Amino acid sequence: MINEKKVKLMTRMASYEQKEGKEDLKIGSYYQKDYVSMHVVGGFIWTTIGYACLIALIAISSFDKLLGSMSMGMMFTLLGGVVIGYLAVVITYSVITHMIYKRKYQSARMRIKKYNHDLSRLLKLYEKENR
Amino acid sequence: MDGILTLKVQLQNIYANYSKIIDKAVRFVLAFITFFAISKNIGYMHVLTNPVITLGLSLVCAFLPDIFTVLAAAVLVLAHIYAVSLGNVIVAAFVFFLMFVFYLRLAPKTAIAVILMPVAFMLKIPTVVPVGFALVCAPSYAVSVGLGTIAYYIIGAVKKSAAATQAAEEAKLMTDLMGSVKQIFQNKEMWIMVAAAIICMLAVYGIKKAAIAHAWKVASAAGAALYLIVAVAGGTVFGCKVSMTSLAIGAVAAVIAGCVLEILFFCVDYSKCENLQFEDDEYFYYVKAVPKVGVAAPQKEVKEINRRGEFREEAEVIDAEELRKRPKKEPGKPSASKNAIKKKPVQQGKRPKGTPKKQPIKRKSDLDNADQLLLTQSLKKDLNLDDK
Repeated sequence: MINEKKVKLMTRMASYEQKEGKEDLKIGSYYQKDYVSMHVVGGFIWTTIGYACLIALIAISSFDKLLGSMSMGMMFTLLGGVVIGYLAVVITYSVITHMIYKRKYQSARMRIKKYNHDLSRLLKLYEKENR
Repeated sequence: MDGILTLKVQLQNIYANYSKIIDKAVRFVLAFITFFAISKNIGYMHVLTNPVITLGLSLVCAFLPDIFTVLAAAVLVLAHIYAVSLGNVIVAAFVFFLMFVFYLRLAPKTAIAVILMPVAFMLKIPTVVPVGFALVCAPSYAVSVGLGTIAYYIIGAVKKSAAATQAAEEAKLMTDLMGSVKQIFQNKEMWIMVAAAIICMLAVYGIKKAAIAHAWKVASAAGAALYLIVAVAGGTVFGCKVSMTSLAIGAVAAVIAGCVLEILFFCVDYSKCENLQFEDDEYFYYVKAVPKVGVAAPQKEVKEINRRGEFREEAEVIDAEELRKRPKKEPGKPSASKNAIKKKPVQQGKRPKGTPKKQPIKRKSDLDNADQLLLTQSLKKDLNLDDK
């Protein structure tokens, strides 16, 4: 006979496995620290490339102005501005990335816990049936 | 109103039944409109303007997440721009890359707004997207709406510069690059529209969350008005031309879209609103409870006119043994076969589970006896004829 409880449980689990489950199980294979640091490092690289592109765009847009008023002092000031800007952008983005991926990891862990709980309930139902 | 609510419930039921197909169909239509609009506006690479390619690409995007539609649209735009000028394509690629690195990488789910905003601009209803997203989604979509506005103006800048570039055939790469960057980033209209979209979204979101009656309607109307005011005021202050027709149509469309979204996602009855006040050890609570309007979907009733197995039939069963023992028929005597025939109720099918068992029918002679007994007892009592 069909066990209604078992069918409900299996449907919920199958739905989870097909949707968020795929990514969650991947995330769950890491430790929180590893997962978050991996993304922070990735974000750092992306941000550095992005910042370089941004500076290049700004430089191109004001190329003629820069050439017109270029001096040693001006160059150092600009360089300092670029470095400070870079640090500010990198730190801000690293903090944001850390927060986002930490939350992502924690919510994925919660869902995996629920899934494991369902799994153990299902096993118990099978054991009950086999007795 | 009831009709609309019933329709809403029916639509919800249809979506619940066919959500997979509907999701893919919506994604396909959105991708097709986007790619078609790109080809129509900046179709400089003639190979890619072929409808078969647009259809095929849309079909592929229908089965992939939204971020792939955005990437495909970006690649398509870059390919079309490449046919016009190398400088423009470098600048556009840089801008798209920055969009991806600084925002879409972290929030890929909001990518849909980046596609919808240019499409809304092309349809002359730019206000609908910020109002709609603020009503239904989180305020973080404001960044995506802003990026979508920038993407639209990049396409516009390419369109404008295409004619100039084609006229001056021997343009140097550096000059071309500088011209493109200036054209894109020094476009005041673009920054005004970005500001208008972000301000509109934040205002709509704030009003929507407020505990006021008809919050969604007020929010969409206020958002549409604010978008219009910021765009017109910005245009006047910075001296740039802003399309009033597009803004006016967009504002009206945004209010209509807001009303439709309210029916779909926030259907409440403000006339039955209750203000409650209670307290616990730490706080006093002032609660405003607004009941949701719910309508049950009409359900089809299937009536079974004739069900098998409900009716019993009576059939005559002939006892074979009795027939064999039966003496031969004598003239003048009544036939003995009548005794051999017994009436037996025969059940045609199994009794259905819900139906009650038939009670054994009392025989008429039993009833007569009971009556007689009761009558005798009552007469004995009346006439004092007890057996003592």
